[in-house]
Amino acid sequence: MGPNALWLTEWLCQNMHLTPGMRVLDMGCGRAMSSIFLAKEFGVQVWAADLRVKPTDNWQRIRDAGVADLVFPIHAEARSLPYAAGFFDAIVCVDSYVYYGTDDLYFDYFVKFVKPGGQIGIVVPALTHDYDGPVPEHLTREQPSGGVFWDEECWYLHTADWWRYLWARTKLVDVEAADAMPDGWRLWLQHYRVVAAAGTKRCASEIEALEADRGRYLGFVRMVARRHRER
Amino acid sequence: MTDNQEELATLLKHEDFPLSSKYDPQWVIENEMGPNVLWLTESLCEVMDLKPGMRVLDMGCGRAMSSIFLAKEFNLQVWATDLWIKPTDNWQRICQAGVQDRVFPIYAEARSLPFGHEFFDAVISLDSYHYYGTDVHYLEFHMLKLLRRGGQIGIIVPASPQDLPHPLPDHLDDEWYWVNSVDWWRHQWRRYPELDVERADALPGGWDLWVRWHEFLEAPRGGARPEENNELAQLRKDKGRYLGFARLVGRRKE
Repeated sequence: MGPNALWLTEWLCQNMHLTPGMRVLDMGCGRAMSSIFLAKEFGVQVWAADLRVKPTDNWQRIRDAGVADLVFPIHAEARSLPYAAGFFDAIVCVDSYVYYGTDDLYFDYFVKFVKPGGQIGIVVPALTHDYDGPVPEHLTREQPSGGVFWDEECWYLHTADWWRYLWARTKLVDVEAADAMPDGWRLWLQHYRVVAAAGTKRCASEIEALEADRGRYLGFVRMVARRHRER
Repeated sequence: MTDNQEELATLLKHEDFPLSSKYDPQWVIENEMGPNVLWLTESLCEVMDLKPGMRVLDMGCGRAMSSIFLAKEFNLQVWATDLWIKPTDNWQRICQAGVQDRVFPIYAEARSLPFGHEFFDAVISLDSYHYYGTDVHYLEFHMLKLLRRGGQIGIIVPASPQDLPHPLPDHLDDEWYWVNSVDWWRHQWRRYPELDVERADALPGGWDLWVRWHEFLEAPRGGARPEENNELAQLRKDKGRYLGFARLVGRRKE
């Protein structure tokens, strides 16, 4: 459902402390690949929550992957989560937080579902550098294949600093990491090439834009924060 | 233990319910939402196949006493689901009871449950199913598909041992209008082709439990005062003719 969820999950987890038996919310899990990965690689109990992919679909995949005892699919809207405050030991969002979390006030709502002292980690498609003025021309122009990379969704692209500020200013967490993936654009490009090769989508304009950009602006950011302990 | 606490403990001890009798009466009072849910849960578990580690939906769990009981006594993994009581409230109770590794509070409406099809090994509902499950389509549209094939659903609901005439008998207030008979419940569940109804009977001693529950609640105040506890007065007049419980267990066909 986007650039390889497994690579992104693995990269995010390098900055997170996950130990067997932890209760982890995988918010916006899509087809639950990240959830299955987390269960298999870290032995954590994963609550695979998504709005668009139905829990019944994910349950089948989870059983096929042999992790039915560790991954629980749940249908949920990010703004009306059915969980208790402090229920989770950790929260991860792989390539989904941009769809619900860029609002100034969302984090205040979201953070309370992780217990005090627990980590929240996200990985998002992002800007590696800010641009002055209009969006760089090589991202908005018509590509040789005829498509345009920069569509309405692209307004969710922000820099690591932007993300850090969004969370740090709330004073609810310590932001432990907010960095861009080195050569993240190559991973993104590789994903589009795989999709194009698989024949499910052409992705020509995306590939052309990423090749023109070469990581000047496009990439991935991961951010990990720890909720303050209650005083 | 004060005299009062001792009296409470005695009233809550029930020879038929050795498991429920272990629980702190004060805790039961603080979290009650109706006739002792521990007795009801124990009654239901006697006639269901529940094995440690099973994934169980406790639908309409209220303050999650039933969920905590299921986790402690049968080592089940329980999704404690309710619409009225918030999961954050229940989470505190669950953590205090020390079963936070296997009871998970979830906020949900009975007609839009957020779970996957065939996720649960069993579904139970204590004294709540009558609030959402009397529609003939409810089992098909909302509930049974969440249960794995071959899994059991069990409920206990207030029900009349015989058909309740309307207008209601003189000794019953109009507020009892919603009570269905045990036969009605049996018929309702038997209609659905995907369910084998294994049991659909009046809960033995149901009326007695209900009366005893009120006596337990009244004890701290020095006994029942009918003007304050209309329900107990009506129960006593009723003598179990119309007020009791139905206990139903069905199995989703393979």
